[in-house]
Amino acid sequence: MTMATVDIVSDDTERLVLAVSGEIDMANAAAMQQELLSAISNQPTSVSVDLSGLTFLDSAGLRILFTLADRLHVLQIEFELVVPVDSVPRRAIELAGFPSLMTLRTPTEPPRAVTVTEE
Amino acid sequence: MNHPRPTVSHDTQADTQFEIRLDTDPFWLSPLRAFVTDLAARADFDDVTAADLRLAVDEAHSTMITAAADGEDVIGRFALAADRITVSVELTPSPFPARRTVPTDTFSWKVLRGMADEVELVPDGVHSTLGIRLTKAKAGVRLRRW
Repeated sequence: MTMATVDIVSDDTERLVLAVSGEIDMANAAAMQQELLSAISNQPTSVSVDLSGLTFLDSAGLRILFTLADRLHVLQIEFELVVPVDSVPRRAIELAGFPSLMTLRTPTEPPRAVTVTEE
Repeated sequence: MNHPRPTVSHDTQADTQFEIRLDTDPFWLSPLRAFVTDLAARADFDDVTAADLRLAVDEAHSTMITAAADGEDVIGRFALAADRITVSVELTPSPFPARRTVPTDTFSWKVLRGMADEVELVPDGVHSTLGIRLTKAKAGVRLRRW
């Protein structure tokens, strides 16, 4: 059975940091989407999702991340993914065509300063 | 939820052929990936190439699970050669097959094309797509792309 978990690493009023670990495929993608959305129940300024603990991510998992990026963009919430260099999830994200609606960062890079631009 | 046991057969005539027949429950994707990881290690694939193969096989199976009609099963055939593994993922032909196409304008197809060295759709010879065939070579082995 495909298992994954979403943990809230830190949750202040502005910046929400989540960590996803395990595997995401078509068996659990819908459930993971719900988990992520329910973890973002407040209105933070930015959301960071750390995928360092993710050992497998296929296109079903990519789809939920890209959907999440769309939703957060509409809400003007900054979104970044933290993905180790050379990891399989990172290669899959880059292969699928990395969307411009989020920032991709490695675990060793410092987070970007939060800036919200008015449209 | 009860899951029927998957069928695994080993062709003793050709020492390097395996066939795994699964129902279309995505539950089986995780154990299937574990099998592919083990198979790649036994075939002396390095970790990166094995990870590519695992993702490609997952995408091919996921695609065919989505395309399957009621009652159809997914059959994965794994053929090991000295420098590559070829995997054919097909649906069991039903008595009255639906007209079936496999979309290739998807994230899944992009990932599959990126992870495997060769990918092609397998037509059933009438009007439908029966499956996907992919090949992954060991690191440093260059396959001819069509």
